[in-house]
Amino acid sequence: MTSGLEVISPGMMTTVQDLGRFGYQARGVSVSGAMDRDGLQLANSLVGNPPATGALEIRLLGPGFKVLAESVSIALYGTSAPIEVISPEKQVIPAGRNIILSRGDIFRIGAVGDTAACYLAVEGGFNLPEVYGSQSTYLPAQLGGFEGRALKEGDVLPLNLNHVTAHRYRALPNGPAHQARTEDDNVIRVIAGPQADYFTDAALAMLCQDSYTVSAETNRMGMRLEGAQLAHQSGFNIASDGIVRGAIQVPGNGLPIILLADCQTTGGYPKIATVISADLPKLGRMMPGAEFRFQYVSVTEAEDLARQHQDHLHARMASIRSFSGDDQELASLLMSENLISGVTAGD
Amino acid sequence: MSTPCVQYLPSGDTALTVQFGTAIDKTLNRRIMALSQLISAAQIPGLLEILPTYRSMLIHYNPLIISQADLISRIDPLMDSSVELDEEASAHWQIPICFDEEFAPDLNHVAAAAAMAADDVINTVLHVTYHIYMLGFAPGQPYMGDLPPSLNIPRRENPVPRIEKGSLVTATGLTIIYPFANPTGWHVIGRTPVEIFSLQRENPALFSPGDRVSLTAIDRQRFDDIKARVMKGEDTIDRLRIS
Repeated sequence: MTSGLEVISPGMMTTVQDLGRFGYQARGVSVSGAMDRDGLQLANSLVGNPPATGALEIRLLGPGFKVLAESVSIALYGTSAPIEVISPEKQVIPAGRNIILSRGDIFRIGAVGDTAACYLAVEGGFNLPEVYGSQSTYLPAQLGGFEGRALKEGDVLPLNLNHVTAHRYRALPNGPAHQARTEDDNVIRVIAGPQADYFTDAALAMLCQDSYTVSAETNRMGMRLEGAQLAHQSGFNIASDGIVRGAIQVPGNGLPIILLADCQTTGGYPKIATVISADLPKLGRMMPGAEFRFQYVSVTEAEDLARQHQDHLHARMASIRSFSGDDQELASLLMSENLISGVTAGD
Repeated sequence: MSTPCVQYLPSGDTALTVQFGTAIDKTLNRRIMALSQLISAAQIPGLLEILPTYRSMLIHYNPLIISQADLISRIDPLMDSSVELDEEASAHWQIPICFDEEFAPDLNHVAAAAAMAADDVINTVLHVTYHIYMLGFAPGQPYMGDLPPSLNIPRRENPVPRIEKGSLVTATGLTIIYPFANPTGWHVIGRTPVEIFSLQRENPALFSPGDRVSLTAIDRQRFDDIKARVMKGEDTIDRLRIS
């Protein structure tokens, strides 16, 4: 019997994503993948999945599902919005821990107002075909994921497992859900170039001077910014060259666009700077209206920050508390924030 | 062989642009392809993929395994190599194109811009063995050249929001075949019924950078026949490969 999650309500933009599609950028195949790669990995860890397993990326308004499997273990990560179990009994499960549900149970995630992307993982992942080794959805070419598109009402998302492998409960200490806010949150660090020489010295300085605001014209392909216009000095066209996620393109109107998960592999606008890899997850979570400043760093500094970022992520994954038990109410009690918070060591 | 001047331009901390020039040049591009092959063969730990473009290559790598400085020190000695592009490693494809009026709305404009008769434009387009400089903009989308100088015409003043999948377009002395319906700033002069990107295939993208492409003319009837076979999943790409 096929196992699945039936989509009762699709949410605003719910897509299957993993860590992306690598190895085929030379053929024009975009990387795609989670806008917040940390969030995806943490959601997966909460259900015992390998971190790179396909999960659901949720934007703006979450989806609702009916369980069409004997049992499923699911977890939400990256938002203060909870999983709301609608039937058979109402329950509210905060993000940052898993819950085990049974056949016929209905649950949903409501409005997500505190992040541009959060993740719902299911133990065992989805039984969906891979394209070039990845389940990530690339919307512009309708490939990958679930039929190359966002979920619609009535879809049945096929699961690899028909029942949970064990009654295991996991939770991140210090409760939730979203990353602790730090004073670095509104700084996005960048490395200058590769086309820094296409911009005036004033423009290069201007990039880091005043803050920019994330415009409403922001999606998985790119983030348009409102703020100071940046002056070119050699025109605004280049012979197309390669693009990496985080590249900051500046077209003719002088307003920067930060390229994101679904960006094209090549492009013809000059790139003034590139966001460092350590700041991409933070960038992926930024919502329209968010204000931030750019800050130049060197390649070596960025590499140190990338290492620190990875260590931090692994520490969080390792901090997940877990135990087995059949009593879900006891599990709820033990996993509640009151009893396990405050034990962390700087994560 | 003279060594082109190479610039190493950081593209963040997970990619390095190796820039050989700023203009579109086939000899330079072939050298870039050859160097890509050489670098791939070096099996540098942490190197994820190499993306060749007209006049540069973008190397994607894992900064937790190799630093950008170490990557540069590993590839720099290879830049002096007088290496030739391994033709065996690249394919030569023959793609059928229908120049039916319905599929070539901009043919007359191109002919006028090039001061040629429409038939001469078609013949010229058919007689070039195209070199694929790079793939980009959409999965599997090839940028091919070179057309003779007479057909080096500018892009459209205003892009159009959508052209059909399979469209053959031209501008700036190059041609592109569109694997997906998308906007374009180039001129539409024909259409192919074959799928140059198909999820039905294990390797969906037909083309690789450095491949060669020849175009052959087919009439509308043949176009419709091939299209019908493609829709039924009977499209075999093997017959498209010349070598």
